Amino acid sequence: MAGSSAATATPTVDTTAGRKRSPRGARPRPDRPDQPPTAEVGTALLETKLTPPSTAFRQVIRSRLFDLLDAGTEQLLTLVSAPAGAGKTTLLAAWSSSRRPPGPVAWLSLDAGDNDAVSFWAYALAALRRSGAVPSDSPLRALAPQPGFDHAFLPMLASSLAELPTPVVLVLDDLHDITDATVLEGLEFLLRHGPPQLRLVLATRVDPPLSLQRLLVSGQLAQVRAANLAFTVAEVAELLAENHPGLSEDDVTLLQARTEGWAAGLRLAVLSLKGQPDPHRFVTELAGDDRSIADYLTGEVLERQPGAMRSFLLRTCIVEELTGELADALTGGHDGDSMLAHLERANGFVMTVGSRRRSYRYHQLFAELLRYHLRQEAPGGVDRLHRRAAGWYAERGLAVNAIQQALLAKEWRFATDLIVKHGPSLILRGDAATLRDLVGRLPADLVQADPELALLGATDRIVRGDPEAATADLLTAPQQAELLDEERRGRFALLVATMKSALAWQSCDLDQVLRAGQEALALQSLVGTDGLDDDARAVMLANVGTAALWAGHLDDAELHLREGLPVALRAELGSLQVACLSQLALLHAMRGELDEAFRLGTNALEAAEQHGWASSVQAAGGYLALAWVYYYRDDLGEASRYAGQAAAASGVAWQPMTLAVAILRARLQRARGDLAGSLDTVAAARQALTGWRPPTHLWRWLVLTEAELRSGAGQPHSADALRKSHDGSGPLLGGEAVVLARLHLAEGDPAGAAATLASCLDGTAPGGFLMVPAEAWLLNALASDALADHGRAAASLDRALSLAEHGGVRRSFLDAGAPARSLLARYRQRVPASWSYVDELLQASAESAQVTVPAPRLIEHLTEREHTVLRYLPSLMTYEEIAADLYVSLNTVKTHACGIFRKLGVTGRRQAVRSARELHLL
Amino acid sequence: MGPTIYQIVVRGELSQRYVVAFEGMTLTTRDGKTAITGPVTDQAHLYGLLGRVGDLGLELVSVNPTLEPA
Repeated sequence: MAGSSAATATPTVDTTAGRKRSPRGARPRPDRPDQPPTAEVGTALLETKLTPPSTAFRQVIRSRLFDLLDAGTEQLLTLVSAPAGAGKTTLLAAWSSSRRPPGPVAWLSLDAGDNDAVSFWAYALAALRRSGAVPSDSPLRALAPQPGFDHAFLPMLASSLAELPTPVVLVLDDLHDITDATVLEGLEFLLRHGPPQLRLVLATRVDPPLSLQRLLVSGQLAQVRAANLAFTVAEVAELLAENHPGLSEDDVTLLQARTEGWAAGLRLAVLSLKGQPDPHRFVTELAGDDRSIADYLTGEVLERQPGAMRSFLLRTCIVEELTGELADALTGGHDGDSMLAHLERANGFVMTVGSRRRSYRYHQLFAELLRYHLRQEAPGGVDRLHRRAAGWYAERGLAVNAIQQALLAKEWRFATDLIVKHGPSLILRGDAATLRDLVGRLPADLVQADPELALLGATDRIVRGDPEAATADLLTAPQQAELLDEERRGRFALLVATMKSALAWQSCDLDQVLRAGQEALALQSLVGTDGLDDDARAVMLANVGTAALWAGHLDDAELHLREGLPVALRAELGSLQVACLSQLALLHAMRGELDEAFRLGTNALEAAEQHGWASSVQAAGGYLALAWVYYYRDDLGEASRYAGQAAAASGVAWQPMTLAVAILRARLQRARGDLAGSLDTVAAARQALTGWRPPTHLWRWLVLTEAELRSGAGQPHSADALRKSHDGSGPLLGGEAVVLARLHLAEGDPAGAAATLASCLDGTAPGGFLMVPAEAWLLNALASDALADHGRAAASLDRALSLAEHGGVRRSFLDAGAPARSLLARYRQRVPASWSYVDELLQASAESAQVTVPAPRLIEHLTEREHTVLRYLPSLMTYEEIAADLYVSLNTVKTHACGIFRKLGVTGRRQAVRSARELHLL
Repeated sequence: MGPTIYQIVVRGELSQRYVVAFEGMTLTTRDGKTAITGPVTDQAHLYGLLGRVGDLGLELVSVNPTLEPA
């Protein structure tokens, strides 16, 4: 289900020393599992990360290194660990596109933005799928890490990998950027379980914090380190041979020694040598020099560049990934594409990335060095360039990149504007951590003085789960709004509404989600393009639709959900689609439109299944919808099963679902004759709602259901009390009216029942919380019959039967028990169109009347040990605690418990307690 | 107690251009090595500086707190 951010993820970019590479694009963050239903990671995967960089620059093929990689990838893990500029990426890219790897190669270039389990694994899976190693029937095809990253994912991944027909090489480049513990644990898991078809290649600047020792000892680890990557004299000779045949062997040796075979240094040396009038002298001088190679040679190389190229290099090095277009924006020229292509060919400072090869990336080290030159030469120019880059990104809607550049340019006004404009979207997509990080890079006094920013700062408090502080912030909002000028007020109001809605979602305050959400959607159309983008809009619509559903406003809910579904499809937000479909299924079930509910529910679950989300909270609605359909079609086994899955999928966080499941379970128990059980269930549901205020209608539905059950259990006073507690709480929804009508009938008040049903039947009462029209008509028939209005009774029954037959509804008749049987029998003649159905129902009804919970009985006497354990059963102690108390093993306790259940003829602890009490064993 | 003065030594003599890489620190070269010296606020700051060294492909020789400025 869509929801607010509630991430407690650590900020993804460390900027204290500005050293981490910035994330290359907007990438939303998922939420944490202990929060209510959440939004999905945006699926705009950056293709440039998934292809090995390539270069037209002539490389020396070093087959000894290829051999090392060949051998290494026969094992689980090959670690390529060496400092910056050692040539790791170049080597791996070349090897990957050769014929040597033992299977298809999946490539992933990592950066600091991947420090998040969902993001990381989503990319890893995408890489695997692209490699061609995944056959169409493999679960890897559709597997996706859930928002909240549950732990079922990793075992599924490992086993799916093990089933691949061929080995697959997964190259993870720049692993040193990954510091997140969960991601590393996931890698550790894969390494521990070592699916034989997986061949991991990790390229990094620092040895990763993984259990390498163990793998080394067991012969599953191969290493390629700096010493391996260092160019040998022979290789240096080859490197120089083509361009500088004039150098002697001694020169080559000297050069190798001076650079220590360091690839970056050698590359720079080769470039510096070009056009040197006296190469030998150059090498000798270099050898006798202590200057840092990279520092010195970069200067040399720059100096040798023609003016236009030099200027190009200095201006474009401020961003890492470039297209010709962006380069032009930075240089003011028109030849960006050709310049980049030339750069790639002539000196390999840039490599192409992405399959269309139109994007380029600087070698990180060179870019860094170029930036120092730039800063030295044109200190003011750096900021100006960042500003231009920011503008370019902003125009293309690349929000996070734009903001980052604006911050680097120290353009606080511009950055603020962008942050505020895109803030709500980031929040709704669950990317509040990124937002917080960005806001944190603004000067503190600016943040405090700006109402919009201050409010965004409150997202921090929502993210950290501090709702009181966040609410306080929102309360001062109206005064803050006064400080803004006209045009910003609209946007400010939108922000306030969005955050109120997000906050309310966290605490399951559905009425507020609804109010604030609708306000936001209304403001959205006023604010226009400055407002929410597609993704965020889809999330908001799904949120508001869901809240409306549970508040009982079914028409509103349908509107929002139906609007949100295509937006979710367009934005490719898979889990949001599942959520919308599930909720729509449930909506139709609430209206008694069983066929539609079944269809949508099945669709939702199929979609969920495909992505491996079958047990996610987004699918819960779908399960529940199907459960209700099965219930009404009298397939109690399936109804029970689906109810269980709905409960499992929604967990404890999503209260409305828990409540609805409880109501269904109570009905199921009653259908099976376990009246006592059904009362337990609803009473427990009512009591479990501590700290949460359910929406009015939902609450009333529960209370009336309990009242009806109590009445049926011969507790008229409780029933009455419950019913009275909700008189006058406002108009009834259709479903509530039905329950109330049943209650009236049970109390012998057919007139009351008929009056209550009137609004259902004439369509003035909004449907909701389960009004099956057939049921309403049946009850009306019963009421009319009791009032001796036989004409109306016959007409109502006729209507009920035709509706029921059409929808496959049976349960309503069975639930109405003996009075319904009698009615059917007596009116059979008057409803000729439905005779066969009537007969079916009579038959089923007679059978169901015989179903009762067997009276408590003792099949066999309990042993003394079993008696001991039995005494513990009423308590809240777990079996482990009981075992500890008795100084026996857990198994022993369980065995005794099973014995108790068998001898009492029950299937569970609670039933055992009840039976035991009735038999006076306790 | 203020920040500690650290001296980070790397191999290779760096030009003053690198001062921007190590803000707040002074660079001095001697005997084929460069000393990057200056006040370091805390461990996070220190690791950040060391990270820069790595990013620049420089060889780290030593890291020492010192009581005297370089």
